[in-house]
Amino acid sequence: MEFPPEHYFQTATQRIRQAQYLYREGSSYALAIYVGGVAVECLLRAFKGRRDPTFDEKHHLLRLFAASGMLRIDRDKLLAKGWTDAQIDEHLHTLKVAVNEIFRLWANNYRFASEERLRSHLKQITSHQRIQGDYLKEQARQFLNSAQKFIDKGVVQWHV
Amino acid sequence: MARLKNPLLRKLERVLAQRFPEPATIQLEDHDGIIGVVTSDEFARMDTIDRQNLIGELVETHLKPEERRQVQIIVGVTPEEGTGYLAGED
Repeated sequence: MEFPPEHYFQTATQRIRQAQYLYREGSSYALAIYVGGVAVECLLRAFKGRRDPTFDEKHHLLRLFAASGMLRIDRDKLLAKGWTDAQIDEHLHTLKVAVNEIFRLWANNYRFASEERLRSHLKQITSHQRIQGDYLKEQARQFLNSAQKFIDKGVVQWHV
Repeated sequence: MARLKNPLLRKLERVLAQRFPEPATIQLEDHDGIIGVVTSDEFARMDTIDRQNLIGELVETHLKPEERRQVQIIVGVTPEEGTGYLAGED
């Protein structure tokens, strides 16, 4: 099945809503994290697809991010639309911070992980963090915050 | 990751290795611009925004503007977090 860039874009916004629903209403934190990551991947594929319809990055977040061209914005075009240099820099910085956060907490094989398995994995890889209460829930909250920020910035950039 | 080939990749690796000496590791590649991962215990004490600020300052300080334009993103992770990297390649 082939998907045009616009389809990936629509799916990205749909998946992030579904991820938030899974977190809020379903208490399905492992699945919420996985779906949130898929939302980000959909958005990257949308941008990449507008530049080049071939995909050889698979699920590799950093390669997809580079190939998406999201950081290669046309600064003059944004300035002409009323953005300031500070706003453009803040936009790019937010994208990078979100990608760093998503990169450290997400992997494509999380789709196979149960709640218990992902809770244990995240405790292991983020043992330096002090978290009280439900460890997986808090990690999911932080992850979805980053994914949502990335999608929000991407939606703005898509329509520029 | 692919072996380092171009001078900018080597220069950037030197800059990062100076700030993050072993046992930290640095993986860089050119994929539609330079991307990479710095893996260091030091990041355990830092929020993600501080990790990006630190890496961004190094790039800003040591690379010329035309070199900086070729750098897409370099992320900072702890050794434990770094295990997710290869998992994302399937």
